[in-house]
Amino acid sequence: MTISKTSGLSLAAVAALSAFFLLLPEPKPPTNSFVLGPVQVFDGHQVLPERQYIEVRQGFIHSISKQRPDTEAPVVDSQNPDGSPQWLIPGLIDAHVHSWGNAQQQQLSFGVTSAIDLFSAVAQLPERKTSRDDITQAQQSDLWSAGTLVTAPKGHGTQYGMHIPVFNAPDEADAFVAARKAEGSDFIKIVYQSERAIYKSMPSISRNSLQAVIAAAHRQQLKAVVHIAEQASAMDAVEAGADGLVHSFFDSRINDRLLQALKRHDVFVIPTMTVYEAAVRGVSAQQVLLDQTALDLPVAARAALSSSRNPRIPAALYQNLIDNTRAMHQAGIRLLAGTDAPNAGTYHGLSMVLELTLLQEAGLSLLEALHCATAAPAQAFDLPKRGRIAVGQRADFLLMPRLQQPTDLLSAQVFKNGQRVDINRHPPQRPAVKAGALADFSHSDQPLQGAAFAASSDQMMQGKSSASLTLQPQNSPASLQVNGKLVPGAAYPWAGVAWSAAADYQQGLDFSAISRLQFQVRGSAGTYRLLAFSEGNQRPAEVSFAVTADWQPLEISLSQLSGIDPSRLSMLVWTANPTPQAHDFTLELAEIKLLANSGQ
Amino acid sequence: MNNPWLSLSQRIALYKTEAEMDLKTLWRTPGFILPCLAFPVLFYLLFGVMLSKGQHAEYLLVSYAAFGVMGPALFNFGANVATERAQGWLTLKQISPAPIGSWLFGKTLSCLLLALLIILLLFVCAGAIAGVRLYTSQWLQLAGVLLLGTIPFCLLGLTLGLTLSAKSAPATINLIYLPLAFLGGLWLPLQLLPSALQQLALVLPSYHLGQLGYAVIGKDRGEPFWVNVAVLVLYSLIFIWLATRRFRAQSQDRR
Repeated sequence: MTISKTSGLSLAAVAALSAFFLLLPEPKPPTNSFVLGPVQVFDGHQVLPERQYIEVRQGFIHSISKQRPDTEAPVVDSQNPDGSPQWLIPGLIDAHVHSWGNAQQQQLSFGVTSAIDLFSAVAQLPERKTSRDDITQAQQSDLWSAGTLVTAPKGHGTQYGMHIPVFNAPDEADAFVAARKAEGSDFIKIVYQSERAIYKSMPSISRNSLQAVIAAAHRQQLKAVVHIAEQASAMDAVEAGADGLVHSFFDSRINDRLLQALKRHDVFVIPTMTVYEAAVRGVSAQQVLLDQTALDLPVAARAALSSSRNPRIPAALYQNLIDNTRAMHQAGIRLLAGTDAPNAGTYHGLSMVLELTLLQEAGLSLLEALHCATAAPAQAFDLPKRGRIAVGQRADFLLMPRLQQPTDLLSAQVFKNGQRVDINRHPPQRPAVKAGALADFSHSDQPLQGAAFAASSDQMMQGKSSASLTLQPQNSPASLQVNGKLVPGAAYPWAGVAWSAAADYQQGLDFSAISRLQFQVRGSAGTYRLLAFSEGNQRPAEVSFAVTADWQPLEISLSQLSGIDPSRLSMLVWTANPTPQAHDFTLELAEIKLLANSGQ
Repeated sequence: MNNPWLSLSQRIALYKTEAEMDLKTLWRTPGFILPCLAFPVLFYLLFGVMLSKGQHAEYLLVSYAAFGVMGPALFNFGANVATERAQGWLTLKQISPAPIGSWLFGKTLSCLLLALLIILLLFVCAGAIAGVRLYTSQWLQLAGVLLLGTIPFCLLGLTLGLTLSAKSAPATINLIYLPLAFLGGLWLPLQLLPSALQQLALVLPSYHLGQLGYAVIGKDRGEPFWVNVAVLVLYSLIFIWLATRRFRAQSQDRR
């Protein structure tokens, strides 16, 4: 009797538990099986001769045929209102990005379904692998990554405040490559500058080291690509056996010797026209995107793309890049479209429109440029089942009302793994700051709005400057005092005080309703700068101002802060200006206020 | 300790009685059960649902579920065993003819039951409030992994309970429990901790339990699962050895 009672109870418990687990919510089955057509197809290489029906099953392209396949699967409408067929092209592949934060979502929202990451934090690598193997996800682009790059001590790549291992001597090559492979690098990226380069930007590994790393990568079945910025370095890289160059160069016109070598070794080149154009010529983003009022671009994108020209480089040099790209294309060298987003003047995903436009300017047809952005990178980096519209490939493609110019990409429907992507190009809104005081230094150095004031200097980027803060509540006016030392030598020397909007430096606050920033300042006489950063944009807007030993009021109009997104302002930094010699300084700030548009 | 004169049915009856008694004890100490259940649930609702606006609801479900099931394992075993020892209850058990296994069985069963309750509560919060969607197989796997994963922590609790005095046990166990969870990456993702601490995590059982859970939702750090399992088994063996030593020492003391 008791036994049966117990077993009855356990049975009931098991039944209740089973019911519980069956009731727990399950993900919606992905609707990744359908038929699409008839469409005009550019398959990554060529336009297919007739209109085709594409059948997608479980995220993969199952068949391509002239006849509508006989299946129960739902049909996706692919006709324009006037009855003409739409275009279907493979999802774009950006062959040069640096991806963190929500970069992969951003890329996908502009039709970039896969990307080649050429240096970012290794901690993200495992999750990226899981995500790209997942045939059910339609939230982000798939990413293949170099992980940590190979560079010399203090070389390019070490200046971003991320601690990375550096390469010292050729005999380290095998171990170094093995370590990258163990971390999950899909290929090896090497930063190299030739001894013969005229303008030496940063220390570089030697030519012997370059050869050793490339050989080690090949021994371990990894491709090796090289970051170069001038013709001499490109030549060395090709001779050392590089599989690809991740930049082109504009220091000189390409010579026949290099062209022949590129051709002979079948080396691919990612000219990264977008990032060079933004820095050297600085007109295309404006013409192609920003001036087109019909395009609904996020404010953050407008800020990122607005002028970031480097005035120290003569604009005429950009012609070299055009000529070099044209010469390589004519010589039949494999070119890949890559933007180098999110560097200055670029925006993840959107910049591919620019890259295609700039490739066209260098003499490629639109379809040739699209080949560089689809099948070519997939083949160059061995990305499985991507970059083409063909049976067995992932159903990553763009359905477009027309295909006449690169901006047509912006009206494409994006499909990832056979699912229609819910496109949201506008990142979520940030809370707004209120007009009024930003801090009350008579009580605390904690800001009234935002996260914190903190001493800030280039030490976090391996510079030698320093700064420290003291609250001076008894002063009149109560102030926050910075004692600092600015030492030149770092790539971007700075020392001063930073106000951050959020503790993680990633999220900003909305300053759109604010027109001016007002503060009192005194200190060691000299010129200082206010830097303003917005989310995801490493390049700040800058305003200079003069300081004397006496208090004086200053007012900075936010419209002076060009190139950032005021609706996502993440950090303000008051810093001393670099001088040829190291110098100590004192700077005091007081009564920092935000003034609203109406001037209340 | 071996009792050749107990029949099998008598043994089963003893196991049942012990289990019933321990569950009754548990039932009669709501002051222990309620915090055990409420802590992980509140943490999850606060950090997983409200503060992160549900962005990491899935990841944090695993985090707080692993954190949650460690609690009863450490406390029900640790603190309660220390108390029973102080009250002379353990001595009584040791000299009574009842197999000591029945006593352990009772404790383990109530631990697992509490752990299951925590898991179920968190699953309800995750599914109903945080919008987490997992396949039934994943929900089941997660529950299974977490339940089995409490065993090394039960054994750690037992070792502590046999070592610590009744007074110091709760405080000391907290001192072990909370850092274990934090350093194992169960409060914050490990990537946010300094790299030295990330290295340290690799030797902590909490880290490996967490990884087994994250693996179910495809968010682990990519070690093969048998490494995680091996570390947990190794810890279990070490704690069994330590607990046995302590247990024998207790019997010796009395003689």
